[in-house]
Formats: sequence, C-alpha cells, structure tokens
Amino acid sequence: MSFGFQVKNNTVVAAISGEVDMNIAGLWREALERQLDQSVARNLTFDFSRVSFIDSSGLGVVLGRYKRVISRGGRVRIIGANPQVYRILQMSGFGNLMDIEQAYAAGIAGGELR
Amino acid sequence: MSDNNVAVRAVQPEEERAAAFGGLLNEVSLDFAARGENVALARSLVAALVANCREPVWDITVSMLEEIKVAVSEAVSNAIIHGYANAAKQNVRMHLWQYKYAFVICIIDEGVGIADVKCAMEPDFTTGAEHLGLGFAFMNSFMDEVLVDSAPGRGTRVTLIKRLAEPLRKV
Repeated sequence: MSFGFQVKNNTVVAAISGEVDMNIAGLWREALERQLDQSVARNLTFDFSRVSFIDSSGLGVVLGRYKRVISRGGRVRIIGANPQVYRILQMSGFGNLMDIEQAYAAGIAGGELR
Repeated sequence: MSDNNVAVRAVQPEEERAAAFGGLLNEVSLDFAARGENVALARSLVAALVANCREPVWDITVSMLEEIKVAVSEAVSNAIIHGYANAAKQNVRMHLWQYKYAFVICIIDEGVGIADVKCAMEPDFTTGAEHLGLGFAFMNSFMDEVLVDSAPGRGTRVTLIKRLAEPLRKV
C-alpha cells in the first residue's frame, strides 16, 4: 500500500494503491493536507486505478478533502475506480458530489481480477 | 502481550444456530490486537473462508465477497476506533460460523460500549467530522441481518448474518 502526488494543469493528482481503510486513512489524510497546503493547484483528482478495496474510513478522507477543495472553488474527481470500488462510491452518494470515472475493462482484466 | 497479538483457532461447534441454518460446516475464531493493520487481516480471513467454502458449492460472486469484506471492515474498525478509542491495548475477537445456509460473523470488543444502539445505527449518526456514519449503513445494506448487543462499559458484539439461498450449482 502506497500513495503519491503529481501536480499538473492546476490539479493535484493523488494516487493511492491497495486497500484504503482505517490503517492508512490517517497517514493519507495528513499527506493530502500537506500537499494541498503546499500546492497552488485548485483541483484535486483521486487516481483509484490501483485501489482494490475501500471502506468508510477511506471515504471519510475523500469527503474531507472534497469539502476543502470545493470551498476554495476547486473541482474534485475520482478516476480509475474498479467495479467494486465504484459501487461503494455510488452507494455512498459520492456520484452526486463529484465525477467518478470507472476503470477501463481492459485495465481491470489485466490488473485486479487477473 | 506482544505488540501485535494474533491467534487463530478452530473451536467446537455451537448447536443452536446449526439447526436453523442447516448444519454447521466450519467454524473459526480470531483474536487480535485492536490495531489498524489487523482490519485487513480480519476481512481477508473472512473472504478466504467464504471464497473457499466447498460444501455445498455456492455461487459466491465477487460482489458478494466484496460486500462481506466491507461489512467486516466496518465492524472491526468500529471496535478499534470507537470501542477502544484507538488505544490498541485490548483485543478484538472475531468468530465465524459457516452453516449450510448462512455465514454468521461476530465481532466482539470489550470497550466503552454504545449507550443508544438504535441511534448509533442511524445512517447519519457520526462521532467525528471524518467519520461518515456509513459504517452501520454498509453493514445493513450488505448483510441480511445485523445484530448489535451493547451497553455502556460492557463492550459491543456485532453479529453479521449473510444468508445463502439454495445452491445455484453443485459440483
């Protein structure tokens, strides 16, 4: 499990891999906050293409950062969600708050489901 | 106690539920320190048991496995974060029974307990800004039955039940 950041086109791209639960939530939240503090980019994109699992602890981190970015006029997106992660995001109502893009089927076949 | 205390043991069958759910096929219990890294251990153990159940062969889908994993993850996270207030000094106990027609998973802590269980199970109930109050909502949507037995100072026992219909295919 690891996470990292890239900044491009006025957007912080936050990638995280593995299982996003309470074990990683605190560290990831702190890292995201530091990144957002440092960056002048307005928008935030979560790259979930390597996320295999997420629960409410992970969703809490996403929602907290969503509130911060939106309050400053930015936009939040999630990309690369696998079908299970996508379902959890939609069930939680995140689809009403932000754009959520599913992973391409080919990418999933080559990655998570093997 | 060592820093990360994990013990897995198979225990003797319990008779009561067995009859109602068509007979007990497998039983496992796991006792682990209330630490974040053990949440993955708990849900992976349950997923491995559900995915590998052989008798009879149920049509276990990827979605169903994921749903059970999320429900277990929420219950164990609650025990660690709320029951033990992230103190990691005590253990969480998980018990899994695989019956012919159901999986039953108990997650037990000896933490602070819940004063108003009904209120805590409401979708919007939350104890902190970063906690969404989705834990019980996920448990309720993904499992067929969620039982919570708790009182202040007496810990919490969450029972998750996933019923299995008639086998869709047999080998």
